[in-house]
Amino acid sequence: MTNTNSGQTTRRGFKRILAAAALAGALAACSNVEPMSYTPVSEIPPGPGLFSGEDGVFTIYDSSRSKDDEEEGTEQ
Amino acid sequence: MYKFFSQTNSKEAEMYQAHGFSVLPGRPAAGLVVAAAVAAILMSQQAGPASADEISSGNEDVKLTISGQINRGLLYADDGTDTALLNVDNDNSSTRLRFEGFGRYNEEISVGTVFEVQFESNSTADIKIDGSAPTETDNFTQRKLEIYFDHARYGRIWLGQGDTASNGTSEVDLSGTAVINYSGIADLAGGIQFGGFADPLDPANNPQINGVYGNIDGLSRDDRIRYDTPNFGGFSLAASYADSRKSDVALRFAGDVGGGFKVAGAVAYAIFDDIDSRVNGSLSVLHSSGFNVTGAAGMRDLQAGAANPARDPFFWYAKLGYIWSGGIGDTAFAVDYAVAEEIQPTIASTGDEFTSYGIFVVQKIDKIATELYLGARNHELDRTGQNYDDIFAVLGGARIKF
Repeated sequence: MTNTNSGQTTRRGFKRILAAAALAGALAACSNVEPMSYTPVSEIPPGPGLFSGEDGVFTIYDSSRSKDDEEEGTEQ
Repeated sequence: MYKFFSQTNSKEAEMYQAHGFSVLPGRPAAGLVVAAAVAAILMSQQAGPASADEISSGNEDVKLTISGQINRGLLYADDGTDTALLNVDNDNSSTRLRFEGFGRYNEEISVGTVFEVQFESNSTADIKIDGSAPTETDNFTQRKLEIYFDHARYGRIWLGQGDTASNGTSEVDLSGTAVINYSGIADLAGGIQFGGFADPLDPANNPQINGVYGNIDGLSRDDRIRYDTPNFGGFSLAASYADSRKSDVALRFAGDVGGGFKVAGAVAYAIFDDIDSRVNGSLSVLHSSGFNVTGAAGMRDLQAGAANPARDPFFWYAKLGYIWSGGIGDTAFAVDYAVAEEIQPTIASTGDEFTSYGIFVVQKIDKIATELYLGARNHELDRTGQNYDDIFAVLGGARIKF
């Protein structure tokens, strides 16, 4: 059961969490941070696929690959 | 690039040609009908890679890809009165298909398109203990239908249906177990209703889990315009404006901070039609030893005009986990605890307190791009003057990225 006191307590806790997050962010900003990519949990995960292999996606068309193929054809 | 052997659809081919692609006779035009595309993909795998001239474009520096996943499981639910074993689609990360296009204008400027839809049969967010899924549609439903313009120095502008700036800011999680549990705990069995007590105000509709728990995750996905700054030392800032006078701003961070620690987090502020403001955030820390800790919290401030504005919706969430790397793929373990107060927007809900705890394991099998998962969770609801039985749920299944 919730009462007013417990609600105030949880909100104070929430503000502390936000303060801690801000402090952590500030510390991170001051340290030697190496940015990393992060994929949100709701998204298709990065990495290989069962059929698509290492890329993890089916490349239907890629003009850079076409150029490579044309150059290889010219060399032959 | 892949070879397609299905019959060419002339109308589809014409449509594709109208958008600058060349289609060779006897070949399909990379189906815009998603089901056809899946079949084409699978057939193309059997045939092996195609030569460069199978599909071509009049434009240079462009790319089109398809990706997706199937995520199915078995859900056991016990509401204190009835039990059931249900075939489900795991709404923690639904079955879906994604088309992504990319075009480069010059070294700094590029454009992109995202078309992502999901298709859930018996979603864990919807299915009842009797096996019915009242809001289910036997069709694709929208997730993302958007375009973006990106500048290497000035950031990215998004337009269309997609993530608002604040979406996902309650859900940052490095535990490796998010396919079965994250702060959105109602994705595991959200449609199951609390039993053992008939709600006198609405006896046919006892509260369901995702009615009394929410992770106040900003403004979700919506039709919006959004701007993201470039990344500055792991930090990025985003803001968006969506229909119905919704706007938000979010700060994100993801980086390796040294000492074997990887940190990701986000905080956001959102406002909905001047009557509902939301502050929320989450933080996750992963050590190279495999131990990890994740927390999230959020609150809403409701004004006159909002549903039951006397409420003070609030939630917090904590998770402790461990990832063991080796063998056939990472094995991730986690336990978590969640609390939510006064989430449901009905008069009866003032004074609600919802608590939940669970234990989870995820086993990756790298060679076949598969994650096997198993988790158990208990759900409790205290409501003034009422005494609902707990709901116990176990979900096991697999996500295969194709």
